[in-house]
Amino acid sequence: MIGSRIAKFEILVCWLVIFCIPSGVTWGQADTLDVAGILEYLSEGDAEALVSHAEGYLELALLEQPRRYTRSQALYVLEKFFRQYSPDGFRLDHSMTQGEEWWLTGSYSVRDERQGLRFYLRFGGIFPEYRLMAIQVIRS
Amino acid sequence: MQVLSRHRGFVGIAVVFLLVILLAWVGQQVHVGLVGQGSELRQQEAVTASRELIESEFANTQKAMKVIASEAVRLTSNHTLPLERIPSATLIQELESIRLPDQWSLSIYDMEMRLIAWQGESIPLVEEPPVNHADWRIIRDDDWRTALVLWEPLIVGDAMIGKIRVTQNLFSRAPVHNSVLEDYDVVDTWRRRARLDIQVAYGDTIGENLLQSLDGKPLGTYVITPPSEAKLIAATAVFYGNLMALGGTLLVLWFLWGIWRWCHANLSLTRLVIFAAALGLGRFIWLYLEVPARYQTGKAPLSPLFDPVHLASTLGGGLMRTTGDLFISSLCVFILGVAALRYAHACSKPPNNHQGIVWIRLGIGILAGLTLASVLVAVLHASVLDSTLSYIGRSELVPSSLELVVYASLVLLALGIVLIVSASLTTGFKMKPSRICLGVSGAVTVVMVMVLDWLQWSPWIFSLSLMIACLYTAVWGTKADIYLWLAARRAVPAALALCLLLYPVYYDALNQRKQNRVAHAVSTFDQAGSPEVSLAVREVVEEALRNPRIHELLVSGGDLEVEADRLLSGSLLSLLGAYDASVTFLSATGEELHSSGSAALSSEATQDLLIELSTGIELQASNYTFVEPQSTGAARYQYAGLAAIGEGWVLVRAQPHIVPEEANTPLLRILSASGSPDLYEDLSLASYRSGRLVHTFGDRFSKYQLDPEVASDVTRNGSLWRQGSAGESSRYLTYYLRRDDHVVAARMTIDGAFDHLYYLLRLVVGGLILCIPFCTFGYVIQWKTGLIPRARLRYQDKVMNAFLLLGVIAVIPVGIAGYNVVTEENEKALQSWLRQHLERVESTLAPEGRIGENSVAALERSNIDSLSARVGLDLNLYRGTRLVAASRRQLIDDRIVDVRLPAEVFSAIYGGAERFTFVDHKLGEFEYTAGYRAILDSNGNPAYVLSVPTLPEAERIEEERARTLAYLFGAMLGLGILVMFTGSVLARALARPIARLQQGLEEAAQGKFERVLPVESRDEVGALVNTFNTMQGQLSDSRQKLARQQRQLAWREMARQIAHEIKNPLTPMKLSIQHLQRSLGDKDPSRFKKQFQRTTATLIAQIDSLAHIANEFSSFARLPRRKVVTLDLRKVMSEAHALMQAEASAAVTLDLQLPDIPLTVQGDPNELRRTYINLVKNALEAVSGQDQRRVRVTAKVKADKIITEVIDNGSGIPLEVQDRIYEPSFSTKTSGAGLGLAIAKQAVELSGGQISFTTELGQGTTMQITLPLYPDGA
Repeated sequence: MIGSRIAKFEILVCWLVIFCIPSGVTWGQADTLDVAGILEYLSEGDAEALVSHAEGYLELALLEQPRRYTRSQALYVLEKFFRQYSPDGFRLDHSMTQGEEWWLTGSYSVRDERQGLRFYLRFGGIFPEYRLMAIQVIRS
Repeated sequence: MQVLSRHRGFVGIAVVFLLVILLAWVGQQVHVGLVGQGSELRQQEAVTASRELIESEFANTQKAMKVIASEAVRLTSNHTLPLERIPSATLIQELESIRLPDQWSLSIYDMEMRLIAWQGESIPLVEEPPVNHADWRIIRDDDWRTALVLWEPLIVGDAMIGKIRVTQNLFSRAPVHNSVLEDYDVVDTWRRRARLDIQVAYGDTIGENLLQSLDGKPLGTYVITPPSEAKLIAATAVFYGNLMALGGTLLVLWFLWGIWRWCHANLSLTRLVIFAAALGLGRFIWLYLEVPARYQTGKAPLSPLFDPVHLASTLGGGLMRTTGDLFISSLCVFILGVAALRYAHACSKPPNNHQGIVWIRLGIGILAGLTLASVLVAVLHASVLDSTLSYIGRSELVPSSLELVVYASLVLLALGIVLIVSASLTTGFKMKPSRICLGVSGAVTVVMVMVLDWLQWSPWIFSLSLMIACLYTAVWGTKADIYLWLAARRAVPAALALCLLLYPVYYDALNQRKQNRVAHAVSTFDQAGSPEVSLAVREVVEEALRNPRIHELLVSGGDLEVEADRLLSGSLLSLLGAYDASVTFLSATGEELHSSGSAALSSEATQDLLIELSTGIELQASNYTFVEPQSTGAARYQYAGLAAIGEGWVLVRAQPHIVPEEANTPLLRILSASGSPDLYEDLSLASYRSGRLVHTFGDRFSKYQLDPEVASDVTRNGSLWRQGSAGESSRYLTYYLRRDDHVVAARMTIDGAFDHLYYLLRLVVGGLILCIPFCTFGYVIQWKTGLIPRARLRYQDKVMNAFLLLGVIAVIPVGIAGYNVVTEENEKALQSWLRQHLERVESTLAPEGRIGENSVAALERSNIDSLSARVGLDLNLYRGTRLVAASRRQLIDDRIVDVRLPAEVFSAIYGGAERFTFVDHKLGEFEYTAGYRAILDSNGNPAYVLSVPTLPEAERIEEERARTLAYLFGAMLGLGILVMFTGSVLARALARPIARLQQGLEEAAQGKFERVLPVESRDEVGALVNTFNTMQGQLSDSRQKLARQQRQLAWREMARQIAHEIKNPLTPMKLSIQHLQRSLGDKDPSRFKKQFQRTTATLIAQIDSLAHIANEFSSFARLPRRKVVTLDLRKVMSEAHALMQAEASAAVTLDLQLPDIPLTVQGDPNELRRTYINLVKNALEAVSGQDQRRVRVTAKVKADKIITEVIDNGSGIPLEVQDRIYEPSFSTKTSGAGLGLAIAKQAVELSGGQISFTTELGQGTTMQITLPLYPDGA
């Protein structure tokens, strides 16, 4: 009888540990930058992959005034944006580097909409360890 | 199948939900297919519906304007015309009865087009009014506003005496776009309602879709873009998707309800775990289905709750991906906590307190508590750090609704965790842990708390506090029914305690966020150059070069303002929040034609820059140049691009945004692009080169040299945080960051005690608001379950309720009065401030006046800009109704300050002869007050009206008001808590002697007179206790005497009974022996032998009878030698039934009805068997005289009791003997010792049960035995 009681409590403990330990905490370092990958992420609207190149905070100005978001928050904000403006392709227009910053601008086609968007991505760091620092979007 | 049929209703409803999902899916497939096939028709339908909507809305607007005009005609016709004075203050006052909506205005003119009266803000009179008929117009105020205008002739009697102009803005552009200011556009409303793209061209009169006035005049055209086929399909799919999600959600809820009912029926640990797993699974299913977020999108009232822009964290795999999700997740944890607590309540004390299980249970409780403490810390940090909510904003007393939801969620989560851990600990405490076990558990807890602190998972103070809260709840909290915890008296202190518990970690997260902000500010302050800005400037220049309209305007000399604004708005440059930007157009000779934006330079500085950049153009032989970032002095960097366009130049500039210290009056925060606190707000920043201060912003860096120790540390570590103080009251935190060849630092003040109070109050408000639905729910449940109104109320509760009521009665009026006083005093202070400043302006003019001149002449001579600079205020000057001068021209250009004197000011000064007046203005959602003072001419008539708007100060004033109110609220809350605490202590103190007295009385009623109550007070209650003690002593003596008498009586009765019982056999024995003696002399030896045999038989029989009597008395008197075992009562009852069945005659029907489940009890089987035999025997004897003799023996389980009954249809027990049936020696029968029921009662009570009976004469008797069900038996 005692054995069965202990077994029940063991189940409870396992459950508590599994349920309560945060699953999905995105601490950790940003991934090394892959330009082709970035273009692909934008074409597919892959917010998670994009955010994986950010570190700490990310500045987002998605058709509104810029705000600083933590990486964790930026993931959902970008996901919502990509849901609202489903991507239909991304074309790289410009790329420029200055000091420890690298800049990408491109045209973003929105599915079922004629008017596209312009994306500006700012990276910081030293090649090839660039980190995504800001994404700005305006109507083209 | 049996299970399904048993739960037909439940399964039926689940099937209905499944059908909803299925039908929605089928509907989606079919409808989407149909939409795809008939898209053209549907597009046409959508366009037609939108057209009807637009025309109907536009017509309704016009009708409303007509109503306003008619009302104005009616009010004007009451006056004697022509008016004595124009404008008419009296008429203006009467017009105030007309409630004009925002964006509307009303003006009344006489026949010479002189303004008589007005309401609302002015729209320039750019159109030619109609001569004598009503007319509709569309007018434009540059690019700022477009308005619909109604002209209505003012006819009184048969004469036309004037004209009425009603306007409504159709479009109004805000100077900047932020949380307070935004554009107003009626077309947006149409777009939102029609869900289609609608473009309107006001003023166009040729087109397919015309916007017409009520009289058919074309006022504009509109174009509706029909929805694409893909959009139609998507919209259709979304509708059915929502329906499927609804079905899924209801199904999950229904299953959860079913699982809970199943668990609740027989709550066990296994079932609790299953419920928890189901709840967790259900939560993740809702997250997957995006419920309820999918129903709250766009302009839906709850959409901000599910917008990740405010709060979103990946912590928990999406459990807090929005504010709303955090709340729902917390609610799930709370529900689980309640379920766990219910389990702890239901969990009975096991028979064998094996200490091993106690160790395990307490260990689990401790482990769960500390794990969940770490989880709570992580959630608290994520709630603050992964959020853009202000949390520390001091402009409002009550936090924003989203902040409140976060606070409430955190309190709810903490409560849920406390309940879960408490439940876990309760199961351990129920098993009476040994002192060693408790000591070791405490020590382990402390060690683990330290380890968690060392791992930085959870601060020790927080973990320890949480464990203490759980311990308290486990030991004392679980004693009360859970619904009683939902009463305000318990819930409010619990919420306060939880807020206090959460606060240290919450503040830690706030502090961390502040530090992040400081680090970011340092980084921005030191930013020397960014390719982002370079590119943004370059793009604007190139856009200007591509724009033919700019070429034309530069050649023709037209207004370039619109084009300059267009270039900036919507460009990347406008998105760079940390930068000021400007566009300037110059003529070929370098003369400034127009400049827009916040980075515009003075004319001289522009000329210098033009010369510098144009040299670059000449060198490059191109029409375009661009400068890399360069210092403009004061360590501010600028980006500039210059291009030659047509007959002139376009110059685009950007520079890091810093509040200019040289400004006369502070900049308006609400007019900044973000509308939020400035990046550098509350911060001081400094830059050091070679240890010397080279640039500073703010006033907290007072030393010109960097502390060598700090310099050394920063050089070594790269960055440094350091606390310091400046004076006694100000403590600050400084962040130093090493850059290539210099050090940048930012300094902020450290929060003081009042700041902590303020933050804590905001958290407490969230907790208290959470109490409202909980307490309401609790009261409803208590009312429905009959707990309120209470059948019995403790005196202590009554006293405490009285104190609480008193506290509430005292606090609420004081709070309301305090609020009113603070608001009124604030208003008075503001008016006094405005009055003083207005007087100061006039007194500043006085020295400038020549002899004999009044201030009017001095005012007319002086320049408003220099006057404004001297007094340090924004000034506006009105002559009559018109604005004639303003120190901040930009506010006029941006349509923030109206060029027409507000109607109420005119009414007060010109009509009411007031020298001062104050008017509240609204700018978007921002409110401010402006003071107006009449400047009188030599005749004492108002010549000018001078105005000081509090726009720049309004935020500070509002912040002060909010802070004062927060402290007032805090004081009230503190008072409330004090009253509650005092009430609780006093109620306890007052009620304690009475409670003791009551307990003493109850014990006395049970015959326990040993306890003498302590006399603690000298009042009436003390005297009462004294009297009680005396009375109790007397009662004790009386009882002892009575007991002695009863014992004597019992002995006498016993002796009499024994004597009687013994006498009965002695007589036949004596007679038999006498017969035998007589027969001794008989000559016939056979007769003697016969007599001898008869006598000896009689003697043996009587001796047996005596032995039986002796046995019966012995059995009753002997001490129990019971052998208690766990047994199935069904077996005992069956044996008794079988034995009695053999003795019962054939005429008696003896039934036995036992349940299928085991009836496990603890007791002596022989004793219980004898009990049932006695009861059945009595029953059989009772039915002996009846025609139909029936005896039934039954058993059933009710809750944790076994109820057995022996029912007969005998003669029943007469009323006069009912009280004595359990007395030994009592019997209504002629045989037996009368001890059967006495022995049965003794046996039942020794087994922890009760025996009772119900009887009715002539109908029968039911003897009922209730025994406790052994826990594992069910």
